[in-house]
Amino acid sequence: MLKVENLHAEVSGNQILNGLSLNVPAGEVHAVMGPNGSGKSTLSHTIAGRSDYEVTQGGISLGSDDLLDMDPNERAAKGIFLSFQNPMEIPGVATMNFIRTALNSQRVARGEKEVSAADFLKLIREKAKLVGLSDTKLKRPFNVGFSGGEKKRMEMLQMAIFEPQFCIMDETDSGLDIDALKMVGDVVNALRDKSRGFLIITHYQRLLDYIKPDVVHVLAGGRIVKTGGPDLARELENSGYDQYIEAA
Amino acid sequence: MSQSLLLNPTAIEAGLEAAFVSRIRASDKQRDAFMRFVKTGLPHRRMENWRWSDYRVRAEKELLPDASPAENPFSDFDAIEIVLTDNDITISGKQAGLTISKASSIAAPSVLLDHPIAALTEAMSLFCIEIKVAAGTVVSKPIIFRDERRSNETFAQIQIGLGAGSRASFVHLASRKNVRQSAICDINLETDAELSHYMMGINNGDGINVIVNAVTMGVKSCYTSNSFSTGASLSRFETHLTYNGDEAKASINSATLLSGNAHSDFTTCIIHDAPGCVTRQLHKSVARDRGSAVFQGKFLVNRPAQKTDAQMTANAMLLSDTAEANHKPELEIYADDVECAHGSTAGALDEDALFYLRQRGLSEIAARQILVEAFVSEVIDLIDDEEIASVFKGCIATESSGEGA
Repeated sequence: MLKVENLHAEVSGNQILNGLSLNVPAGEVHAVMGPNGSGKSTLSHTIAGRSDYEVTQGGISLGSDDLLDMDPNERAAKGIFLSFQNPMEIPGVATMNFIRTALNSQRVARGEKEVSAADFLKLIREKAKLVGLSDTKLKRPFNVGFSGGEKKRMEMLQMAIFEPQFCIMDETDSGLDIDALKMVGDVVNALRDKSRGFLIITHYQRLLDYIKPDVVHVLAGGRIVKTGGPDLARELENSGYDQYIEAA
Repeated sequence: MSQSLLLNPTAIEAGLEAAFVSRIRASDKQRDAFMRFVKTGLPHRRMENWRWSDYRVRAEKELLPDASPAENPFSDFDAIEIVLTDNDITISGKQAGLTISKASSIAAPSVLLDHPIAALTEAMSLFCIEIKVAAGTVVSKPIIFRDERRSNETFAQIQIGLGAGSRASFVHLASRKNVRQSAICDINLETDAELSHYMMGINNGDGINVIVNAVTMGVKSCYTSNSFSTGASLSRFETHLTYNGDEAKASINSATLLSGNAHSDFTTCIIHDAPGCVTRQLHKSVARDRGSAVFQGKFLVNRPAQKTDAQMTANAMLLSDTAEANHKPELEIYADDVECAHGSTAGALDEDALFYLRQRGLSEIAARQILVEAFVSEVIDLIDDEEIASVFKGCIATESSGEGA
């Protein structure tokens, strides 16, 4: 499904990713763990197509599609969804209107029919309940005045509505309490199926108590330095990243 | 050939002088007004108030005549309309307590005595449109003023008087293309009167559009002004407001979207002369290409104006390296128990927000449009009249959809 091969990427002239390779087959959940500054967020932004993250070598593909030539919105329409580590507050943008526009932009790009206002309202209400966001929050400008936890709920709301092919969750667990962590787990587990892939980027084991990964990777120095099963996450929780930082 | 009264007149100034001299019915007062104009001629960059809006230079652009009818985004409004055409003035709609008439031209308001465009307008105007609202009258429909004269140099004088406790809303639409138009609006609000004033300058092309308002505020009166401009070779909306009565309130806001070489200037001078008055100002401008936005705002708080509460904010968004914003907030305070503040920012489009929206599936053009509209929407949110707000929104959407193109 998602194939990252020998990826080298720079941000403002600084090389951050140094030959990173990763293969997440459809139906699997992979966790990427790593210390601060190891390149986790650069990886997520580069897959999503942020223009100031320059790929100098290597490739990224989703199924048979080469993502590198695509704009961020084209990648989104192909099914790449990034749950941001620090979701934006966008004053002046009406939340429901924006999410509907985004959903329909993706659908139109895929040659699908737009979702009507009435159907969308039903859909967003149903999913908002699932992620624990009230109607009043949906009526506010996008994320304005939201707590960190509420912003993460808004990310999960969009993920639940878009039903993307491939979900990248960039430290979605940071700043979340136990109830919110469980909610994230519920959203992901409801979406898990044979055709969908997940890349879960995290520092800690705790989110993985709710979302059981198939594979765990350790990212250090801009490369995957170790790959293992779910036990690797627990092992890291005990031993820390020091050995990998040194190895990188 | 008679000698010009102006020092080294430009072709346009010489033309204005010839037009004035050929007038047979100019009054003595109008002759005096022309002499006041002659002192400076057309405003230029060496005059402090016009340093970023050089009328003289910007008027040099050749005006290609445009035969298309002036745009009217209020065409389906149920309104009282005042329309100026080349030969006449048409007033449609009536209401008890409201009189609209064509009166003799009036002297420029005293706060505008040194204002060259006010002096020129006084000298050149053949008449004044007088709008009077009797005490206690609530004018239920908006009064819409449109100037549809074809000539490439026009002047308008408008006088609006709201009696005690009356209410009205006045829309000033300037949508003729490629003309030089100047309007002076003299507004007087008596005790408890409330005026909602909307100014809209759209589709002005290479023309010049100057609207100068002089507002006098009575006790507990309320003046709200919301404007939208897409600029012109030079567009300038100026408001000089004086609080004469206690506890009056004014809210003056504008949204500007500029592209090409368009220029837009919003200048205000608020004189607090009475205690307990409140002023709020919010000005938002977006400029791309070589667009240039100007905001000049001054609070003059005189000694009697204790407990004044005055704030002004100007935010500019620059979408290209060649776009420009010049802000000049000024506070001059002689009273000791007041709250006055100003804030000014200029910045680019937020790249993080742009990436966020695009990650959600929006094209670059759509994402930019959403962010531009969001930036100016704060001004639209201040408009109480939903119908008028939707016209503003429509004009903003039309203009911002060209963004990034």
